[in-house]
Amino acid sequence: MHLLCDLPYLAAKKLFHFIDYNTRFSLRTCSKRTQMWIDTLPIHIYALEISTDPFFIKFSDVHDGVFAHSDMGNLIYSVLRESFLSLFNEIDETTIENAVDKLKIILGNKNIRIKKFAVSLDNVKPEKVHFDQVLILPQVVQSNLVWFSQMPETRLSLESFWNIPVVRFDNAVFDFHEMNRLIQHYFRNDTFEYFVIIGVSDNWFPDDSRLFADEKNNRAIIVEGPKFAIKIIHRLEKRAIVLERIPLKL
Amino acid sequence: MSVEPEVPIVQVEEVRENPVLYKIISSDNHVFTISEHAVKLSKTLWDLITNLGLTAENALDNPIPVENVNGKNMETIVQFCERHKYDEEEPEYTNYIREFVLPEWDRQLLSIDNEELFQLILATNYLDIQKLMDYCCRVIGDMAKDKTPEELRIIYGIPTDAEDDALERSASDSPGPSG
Repeated sequence: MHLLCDLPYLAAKKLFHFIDYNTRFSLRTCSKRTQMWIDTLPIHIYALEISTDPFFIKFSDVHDGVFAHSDMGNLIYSVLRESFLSLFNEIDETTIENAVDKLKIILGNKNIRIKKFAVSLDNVKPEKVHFDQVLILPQVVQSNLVWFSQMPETRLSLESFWNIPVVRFDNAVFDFHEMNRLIQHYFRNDTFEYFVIIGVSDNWFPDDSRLFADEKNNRAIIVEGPKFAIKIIHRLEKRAIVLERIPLKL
Repeated sequence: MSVEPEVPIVQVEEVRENPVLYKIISSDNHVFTISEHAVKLSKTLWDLITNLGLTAENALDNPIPVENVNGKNMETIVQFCERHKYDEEEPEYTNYIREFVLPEWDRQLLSIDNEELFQLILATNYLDIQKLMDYCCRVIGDMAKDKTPEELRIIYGIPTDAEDDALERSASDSPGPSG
């Protein structure tokens, strides 16, 4: 009998609801058997935040609803850090491609589940970022929320995040027609909850749009789908476009 | 098969309040009485009761044999279920790390050695009692808090690679069923 390694799979999975990431990695170093055992169990990461300036990668778990951040000093963290730094510091295209591939392989670990994914790419040259490959990973697509700050819009396609219920972009620009395309997909997919982009121009809506002033005096338009409607709101003071899911009118 | 109990039938106070009672026989023929509310915490037992069509009238005349759980574990399980039978339903299941206060009563109940805890988890898994599984795993998880790999090895009795290899070798060297 081995209290850990011989546990039924469901019990072992549950056990990791009560073991933080650092302990998990300590256990991993105990023996080859514990390493194999740990590697077969999923890693549920509540939130993964990646920032370039200041640089950090934070994994978060939840304790009583409060985020508990852990800057992990373990193998995965080190490899991620190395990959991520080289992703943005190296100028050689091949090196960047390799770094993205490496990051993709790590995040592509089928055992990793991420609920919230936040990326802040301050002070990064747009031409050096190839982030789509990471965004289309199942682990990211399964996230409930992604938040991009300073994401160079030229490097992102709408397809990268249109399965994700809650999306926020700071300083990214999509025009009205792209947004319509996104909305059509939201109607088909039915996972949509909320979308916001910040940093749009004052005349973001085309001139011929049938706008109305909502209860907060924002310019808005409602697009109806088969199961629900989406209200597109232009919050001028925040230079933001917000998409909200609303019920269909009976 | 003798169904005479070697340990006292569990008759905690809460059981007497409930008119619908069921009898369970453990693998070593100990008999336990459990109330309807309590037995519902075990998905396996409740499914069995439903499928067998047991009712308030015939429940005590039809004891349910549970061959995978011994009397010691069943006693703990019945105590646990009676204690928690009126608890509010757990919030929606989440895969992320959770924190809750393990009640002192339950901590005492689960203050048992690793081997016993392991056997209790197997029984809990078989009987599909989510709350008890949560508590057992929480106890195991608490053992690991802020511990180094070496400390973890001692706490959980994790064999070294050499010990694992030796065990594997001796297993492969031992004669098979044909001798």
